[in-house]
Amino acid sequence: MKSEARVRGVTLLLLAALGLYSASRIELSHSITHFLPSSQESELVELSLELVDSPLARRMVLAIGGGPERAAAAAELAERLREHPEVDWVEAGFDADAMSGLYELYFDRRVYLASASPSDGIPQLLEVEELARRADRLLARLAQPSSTLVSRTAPEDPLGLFDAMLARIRSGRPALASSGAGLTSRDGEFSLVLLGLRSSPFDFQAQSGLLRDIEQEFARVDGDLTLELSGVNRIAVATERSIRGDVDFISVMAITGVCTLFLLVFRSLRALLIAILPSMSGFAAATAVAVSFPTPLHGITLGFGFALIGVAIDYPIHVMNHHALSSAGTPPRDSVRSIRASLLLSGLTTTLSFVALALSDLPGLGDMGIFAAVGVPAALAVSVLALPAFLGPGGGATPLQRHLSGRSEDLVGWLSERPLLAAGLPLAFALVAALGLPQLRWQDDPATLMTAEPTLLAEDERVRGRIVDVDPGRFVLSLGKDAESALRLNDRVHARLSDAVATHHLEAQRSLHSFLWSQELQRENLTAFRGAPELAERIDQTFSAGGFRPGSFEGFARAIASPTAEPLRPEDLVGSPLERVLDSLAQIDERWAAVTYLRGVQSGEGVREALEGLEGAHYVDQEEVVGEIYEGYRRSTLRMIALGAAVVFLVLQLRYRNPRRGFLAFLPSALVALTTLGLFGVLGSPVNVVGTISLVIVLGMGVDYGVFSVDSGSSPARVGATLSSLLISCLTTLFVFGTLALSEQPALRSIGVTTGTGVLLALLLSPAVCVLANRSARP
Amino acid sequence: MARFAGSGGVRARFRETKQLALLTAPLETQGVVVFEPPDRLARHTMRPGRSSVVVHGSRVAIRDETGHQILELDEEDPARHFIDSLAVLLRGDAEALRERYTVSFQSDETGWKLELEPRSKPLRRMIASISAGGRGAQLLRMEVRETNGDSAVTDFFEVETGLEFDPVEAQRIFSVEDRAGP
Repeated sequence: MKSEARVRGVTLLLLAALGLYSASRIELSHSITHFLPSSQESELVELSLELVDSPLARRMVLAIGGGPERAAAAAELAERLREHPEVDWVEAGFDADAMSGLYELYFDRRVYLASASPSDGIPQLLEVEELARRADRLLARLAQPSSTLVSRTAPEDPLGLFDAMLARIRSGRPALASSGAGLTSRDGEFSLVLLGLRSSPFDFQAQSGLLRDIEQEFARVDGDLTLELSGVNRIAVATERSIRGDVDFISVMAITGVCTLFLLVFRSLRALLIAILPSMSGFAAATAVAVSFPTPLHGITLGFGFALIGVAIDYPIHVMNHHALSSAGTPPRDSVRSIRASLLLSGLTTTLSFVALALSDLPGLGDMGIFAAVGVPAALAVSVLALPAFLGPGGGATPLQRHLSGRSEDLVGWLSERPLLAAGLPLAFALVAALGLPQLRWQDDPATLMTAEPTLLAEDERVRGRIVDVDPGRFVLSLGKDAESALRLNDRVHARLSDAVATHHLEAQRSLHSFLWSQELQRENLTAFRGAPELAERIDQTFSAGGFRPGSFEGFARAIASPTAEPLRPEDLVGSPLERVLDSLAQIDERWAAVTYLRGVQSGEGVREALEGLEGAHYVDQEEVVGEIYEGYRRSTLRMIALGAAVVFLVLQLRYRNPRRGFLAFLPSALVALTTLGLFGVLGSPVNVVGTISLVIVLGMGVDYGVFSVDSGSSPARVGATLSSLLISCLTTLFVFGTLALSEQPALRSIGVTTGTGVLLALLLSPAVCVLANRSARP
Repeated sequence: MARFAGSGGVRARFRETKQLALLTAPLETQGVVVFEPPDRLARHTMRPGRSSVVVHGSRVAIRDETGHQILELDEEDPARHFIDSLAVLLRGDAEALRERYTVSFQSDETGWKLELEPRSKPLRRMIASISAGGRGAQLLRMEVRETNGDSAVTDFFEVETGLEFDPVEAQRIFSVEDRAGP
């Protein structure tokens, strides 16, 4: 007894030590890049996905509607939110200072920014007919009530280059920019406030606090006004809130279910604590190993790894149920010894199927496999070596345990007399698989893994429509070794995309090009002006013919001969009213990327064709990229499941040295996995990447069901104990994983439906395997 | 100003003559101005080219042969002063006028004359003074003198006051949406 107490002490001490060690070293990563394929394309994918948390995603649009007081309310709200710790910047309009800032930035540089294609654009601009047209336009503008401003800039800018620049800036901004009274929607019915977020839009705590504060600040603003919001953060917070709500509800359901089950079956909650000890130990051991590596442990690896190690709950249930049903006074270690071979084989085959997962070329999937392949043997070791120390003498089965065991014996006895029915069950499973698999649909669209409230999505869409916003998930990356090369490429990308807009492959683009050109292109403009023969004379003559006083435009000729400013550089925009546009010029590692956001992409192929031949320019559809990653994970998981199944089959054949028994032990894993997929095919229910990874759990548990069923032998008592253990295991799994099927979130639901269906089918098949294996065992 | 404030909607033909240093000859434009209290003003030019400027509160829509543009201009914006000083006068908003300008007023049996000098520094850099003259509730002449010597004289005639516009007519006159012509 003393030695068992020592085992208990050592086990708990070890568990605590592993927990403390892991807690002291754990460094969690949430970077999506860890889950990217390790292929040559990964750099671009990595760059693209880093932009998921881009400045465009770190932004909100607030649309205030109602009476004429909305403009003042928007200004007031903007001022209040400016001080908020989670708000990086606020933009609510251009004031007179901002307009003066634009003048200072661009007026002296107008000759650098005249034409995106200076070699032909500037000669065309300086043709006599075009100059005459510009003279007429200037005359028309002078006839307007605002001519006071025009008449002051016209002598130095008769061609209206600064005006054209302002028009470009206006077109490049998401909302209708004003010169003072705030930003308004296209229809003028809403005043807008743009907010920059300091934290990631996916930071639940920061964003839920900010959203609450925005509502509170708006409530303090006077007037009968409405507030509508748009932002990735809002969708992310709502989705996470829904997931948390689901998880809370499901956790309560699962804990209540498992506790009730253990109270009914074992009449003790202590039994539940003992049952979860091996899985917890496996998880602690795997975490301790993972945190010993220099690279941080990924949150997804930890979550899925924990779920995979959850299959180990079967081992203590078998031990505890067999022990309770054994003769009175049986020492726990004798009970373990009676099923040790089955336990070890189950553990070995499950571990091998996870090792196969670890061989995946996708690093994230490989990590999950390694994590589980470390945790399962650890859980098995605790089940075999330490668990007996926590159990009393055998023979203490509750009435329900005896009842379940007895009914299981009866069922197997009944089925033994109907061997055709026993053989027909696996055949029926195979038939469902054969019928369903050809109809199976895979679903790799990432959007289908999460659901957000339709009303929120509709509001988001409405607000974005009001400012003619771009689609944040579709953009073109212009990559260069430095900012200038990225901008040079961006100039060419802009030209190509303008053609794509003209040919309706694209509705619109929002490019840095509206605000900033490469130094090279700017200097080409100046050179083109300087190369124009008799420029000053031509302008003077044409404008004089249009009614302008000769010699009025000498200032323009001087600006070309000796510009008063250098070409515009990115750093010139820092601290200017247009500083935010630099968000589209990002340094990622050693490279620079200019990002052009797109709206209304009719065909991704059309955009790719438009960019053909531009080295370093890439069209990115983040949904498509993530979809491809998911598809890669799904395919790789299926390959690894097949590999794991083949290894498990070989091991079972080696262990049983009997092809039929080996095959039968294999059935509840491989056949059940195929039947689960077949059933989804028949029901028309598509399978996503999460469901596919959940199949690994089905495979890991299914092989346990097969091994125990085959090993139950011909002794009715052993058969009863085994099948009732499998029933308790199955119900536990249904409560732990199956309840996820109640979730509103498709990803969680998929885990629940796949795992729940799989273990139920494995349980259904087990009596038939038991019968067929015992028949084959007879000489 | 009280008379203006109670004079309701106004429609008048106008002829504006601008003397600009840039041009060899005065620039003359003709058209129609329409005002509906409190803050809607449309200035449709018929000659020499067709163009429109429509002001509605802080919103200014400018449309001419080169295109259509909508601006939001706040009270402090110099461009707003140029565009809607006429609206401030026509609605008889004495307080707004005094906020923006130093005002001097003279009247006799032949009519009245208002002299306005901008208060704000940015505006003073461009506008030397504005004078307006008329009879009774009718504004008949307005002259803007700029600091660089340029000037604009607008004569109003066929002035109709006390007008009320039905919604369809108001929409036609004051629409700030993009459309084919004024």
